[in-house]
Amino acid sequence: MEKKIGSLILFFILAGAVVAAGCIGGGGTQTSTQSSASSTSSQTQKEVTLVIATPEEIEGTDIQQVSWANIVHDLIFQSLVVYTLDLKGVVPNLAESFEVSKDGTEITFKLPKDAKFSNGDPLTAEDIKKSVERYRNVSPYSEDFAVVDKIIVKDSQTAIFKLKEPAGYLWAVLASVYGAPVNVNLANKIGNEAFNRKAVGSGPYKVEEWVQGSQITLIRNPDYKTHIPFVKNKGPFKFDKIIVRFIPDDFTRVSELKAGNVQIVFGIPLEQVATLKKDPNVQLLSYLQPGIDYIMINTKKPPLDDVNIRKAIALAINRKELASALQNLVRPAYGYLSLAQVGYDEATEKELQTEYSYNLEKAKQLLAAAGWKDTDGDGIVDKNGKPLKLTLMVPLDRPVIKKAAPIIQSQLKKLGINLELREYEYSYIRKMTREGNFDMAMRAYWWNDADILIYIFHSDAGYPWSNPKVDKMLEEARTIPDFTERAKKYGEIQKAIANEMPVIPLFSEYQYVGVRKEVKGVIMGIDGSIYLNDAEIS
Amino acid sequence: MKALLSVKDLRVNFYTSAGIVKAVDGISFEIAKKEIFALVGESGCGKSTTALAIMRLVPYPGKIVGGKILFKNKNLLEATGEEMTQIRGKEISMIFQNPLTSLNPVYRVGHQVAEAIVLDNIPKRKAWKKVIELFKNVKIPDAEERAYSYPHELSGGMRQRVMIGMMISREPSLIIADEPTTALDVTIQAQIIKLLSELRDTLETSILLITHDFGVVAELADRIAVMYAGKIVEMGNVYQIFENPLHPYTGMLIDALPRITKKEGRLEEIPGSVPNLINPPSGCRFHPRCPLKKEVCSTEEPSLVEVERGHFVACHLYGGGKA
Amino acid sequence: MEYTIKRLIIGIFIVLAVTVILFGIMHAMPGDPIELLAGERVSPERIAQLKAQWGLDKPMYIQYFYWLSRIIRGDFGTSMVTKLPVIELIKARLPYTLLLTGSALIVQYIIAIPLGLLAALKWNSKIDRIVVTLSIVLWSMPNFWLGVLLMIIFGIKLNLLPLSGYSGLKSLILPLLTLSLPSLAGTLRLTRSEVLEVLREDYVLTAYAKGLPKYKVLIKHVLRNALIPVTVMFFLYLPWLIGGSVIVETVFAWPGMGRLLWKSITVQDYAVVQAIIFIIALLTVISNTIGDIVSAVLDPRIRESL
Repeated sequence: MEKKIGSLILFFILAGAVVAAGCIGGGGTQTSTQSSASSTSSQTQKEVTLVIATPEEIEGTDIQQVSWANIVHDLIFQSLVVYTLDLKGVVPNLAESFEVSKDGTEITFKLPKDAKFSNGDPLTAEDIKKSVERYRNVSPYSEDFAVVDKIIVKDSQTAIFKLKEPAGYLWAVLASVYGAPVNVNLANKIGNEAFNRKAVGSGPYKVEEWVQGSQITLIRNPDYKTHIPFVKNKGPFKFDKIIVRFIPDDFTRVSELKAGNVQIVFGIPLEQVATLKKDPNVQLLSYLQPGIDYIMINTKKPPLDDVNIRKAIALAINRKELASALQNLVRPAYGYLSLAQVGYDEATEKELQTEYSYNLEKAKQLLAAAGWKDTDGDGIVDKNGKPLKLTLMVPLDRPVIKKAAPIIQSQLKKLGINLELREYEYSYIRKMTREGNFDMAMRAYWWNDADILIYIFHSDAGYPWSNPKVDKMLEEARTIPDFTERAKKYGEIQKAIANEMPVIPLFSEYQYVGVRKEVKGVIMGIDGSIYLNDAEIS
Repeated sequence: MKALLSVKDLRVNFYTSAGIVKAVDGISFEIAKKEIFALVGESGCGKSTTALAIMRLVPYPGKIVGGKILFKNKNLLEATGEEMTQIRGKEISMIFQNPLTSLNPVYRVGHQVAEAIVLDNIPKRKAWKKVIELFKNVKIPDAEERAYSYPHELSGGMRQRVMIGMMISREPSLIIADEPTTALDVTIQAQIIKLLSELRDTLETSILLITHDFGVVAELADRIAVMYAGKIVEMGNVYQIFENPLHPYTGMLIDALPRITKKEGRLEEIPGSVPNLINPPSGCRFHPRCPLKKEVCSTEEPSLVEVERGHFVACHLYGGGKA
Repeated sequence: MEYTIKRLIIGIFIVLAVTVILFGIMHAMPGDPIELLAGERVSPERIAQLKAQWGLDKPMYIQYFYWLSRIIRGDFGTSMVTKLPVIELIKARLPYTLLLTGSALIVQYIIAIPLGLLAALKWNSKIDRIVVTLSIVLWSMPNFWLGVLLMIIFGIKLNLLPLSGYSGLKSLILPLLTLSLPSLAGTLRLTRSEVLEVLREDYVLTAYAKGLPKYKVLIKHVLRNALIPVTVMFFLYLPWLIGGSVIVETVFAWPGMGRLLWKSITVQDYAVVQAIIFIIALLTVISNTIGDIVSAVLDPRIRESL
């Protein structure tokens, strides 16, 4: 009797293992290989595959349904325009050409006659209109197109965006993959869920297969055409397939790069930068964070409601020391924009640097003038018997910022401030700062346009600090169409903000992308935008 | 008459971390066919080890280091593993002391007995029938149902009967019974003793009875050997030993028997305790506890001397000259 | 039989309790999935809108009952992150996890039991000491350390095996070793100590005494008893096959349930976490009951106490 049960159990286990193996080998989920330039036994040519690795798996392939995008979306979709590599202007991509009206309220896009989606469906101005409408319904970032009043389809190749007011910041959306047209007809036919599994755009690749948790295989779109002037190859890419693998572990991801199994790796951890720089098989491309890491101060909470205290803190922070402690993988920021953002003004940055660079003496003076002195000799200043103690919220899931926190703590100690560090998850910190529940908090933003500032410094943003003058300047800056003019305006805005120092800029982080030496022709903009049009494996 | 079992100068050592224990230090005896031979002594004297040695089942860290064990003229100490496997259960079997732990708790008792029977290539059905028959022979009531019981469902006495049934199932020539009644209460003891003596007649087997209980010995044994500290100190037939115990130790063992007729009404105990077998006392091992010891007893070890026919003793009181 | 039914009913209550507690914990965690997903550019109004879409604006107990009523009908809900049905996510990942954990379990037992038996039989000999030392070494190796070490040796230096991801059975080897070797130690020690104990039992002596050959004694009497705890443990282990091993799956980029569960917890994708934990809880109850039944089947003495 017992024997029978024992053998029955064994049978079930073996059966289970066989079934599991079958599920994987058989239908649907495939057994994909991640070899590099492998030659599969196809009749005519050798099939060239590029393998890319990213840390996180995408939420979905539909750019309009996801809350963050990566290289996968960049390959599936094609925006109407892109920024130039130095972010100083906008050039056509999908659009053949575009024109902005004199008053800046009308942008006219002209599509090429034979524009197609990657599944063969024609891409007309009507599709542009439908895309924007769907975006407004579906995307979490639906308000990106709030300034667009309506889109007029003049003819099948011409779409006219009519804006409520001139909006220089709209380019940030139109030039990003978020603003790219999607095949709305298809989405409506198969439903959002199915479309999120296998979205269709007009990008250089289309989705062949997405193995959940593992990788996504993209095959080349032979109809792909671009009008980007700074790439040589205006047609289909040189890789028959691109496989994007999701490898969450840093060590594993970099190991695959070193071993040559993966040709491009995003998210190079900072500890590996030094060794990879020395690796003869790897080239490291770097770009600066389009944004800054900063300390937000609760200007409603005493004693931080005193601008002199805030300025004192800003002056006590030695950004050069921070940078060297972080192995120079960050660039000190004195203004609120990084050079990888549209609207950055070098002159303003230099000015702010002169005014707010490290000056411990001045900082101490400011504190003393506000009544804070070290009367009991314990190293901490006090006023009316109360020592100056503040808490700083530190995001434990942002490694570079987290590393900087203790250094700032010791720097402020020299000033005589007792800074307590408290670690939380970033999303929690964001929530607390919105609710006004903090002293100081370390945060960051990543967006390649200066317009992001309105989401932090405008009174509507919901943070403790506001200044009606700055509000007005931010609103005005949105409407300036000319890039240089806009940058100047943002220079003024930054100076106005710095004057009250509700936010102390710290630095921008350098980001690294690892590329195998045998991959040539990879182009990267200063904000990290990658263009693989000319890329090939030598 | 050729002996069934002839043990000659058997030595068994235990290699412990404390030292080498000479558990059995040169004993010799013979068991004839259909004879019940009792090996008696206090616990720790080496009698159980002798039994295990005959079966070649001495546990680690024990090792048989000398002597011969002739069974049907074959020296068991030279037998291969295979040969011993054939002998165990079939020619020589052993009933163990503690019936509560000697049966495997996960198998039905009938199965465990049948397991032995099928070793003789008897088909399962027949074997089961034999099991039931055996159970009836050993006086297990409701034998058909009881065969399906698990050991924990049976009382100690019942389990001992199962053991007996198991160990006689293949009709061995020699049954070793190691303290077969010690773990049972008195009334059951009597039944088991009766059972064993009947077996000798019905099966024509010899029995090597290992016990410390002289009362059981009196009822069952034909011949007796008294062991002390790894050596045999006296050997003879049951009348000789009981009516004329020669060795002081034997006398004390017999006196220690609780007897209803004893006028004093008190249990006699034997003073002192069993000696350390790593460093046994010099000379006669019993001398530290012997009320009749002489000077020579502490220096010279006495050897077995035949005092009357078939009655041997190792004691300086009776000569005990050099071997 | 009625014992089984009683156990299963209690089990259902346990599962329900687990889901309630889990629900409470997840919703008590600061932040919620919508906020986690949205970046800086999303206005509070839009966030509120999205929350309403997912029913997150309703009071907790109503949300719980919605969830419960759906899961009873087999509707595991939708992932807030991928917008895909949870059941699809699970179906996609489960075979990979089962393959990894299932084969690790089998390998572990196939190696550990004979080795444990061998070590016990040759107690205190060189072999035994090697085996015991080996098991201590394996036991103290953290998963990720072993995984990285194996990756470096076999994947990078010797270039014999794939480093990560699933690409056929070859890619199973390293994660399989990483998963099975440390836990092998536990089973090995247990087997060894159980066998040692059983070898000292009187009934083993009886088995020899009745003339059974050594191999029969070892299998029918020694193993049959010594393996009871190990066998019962096996069943208690089964639900964890589903959960996968987060560490091993992360290091080797293995597309399994462990990663899915971990990621869903960190982004608070309620539906996914609840579905997976519900399944594990249910399986734990079932396999515990089975484990009890198995131990009663294997050891008649336990049947009495039931």
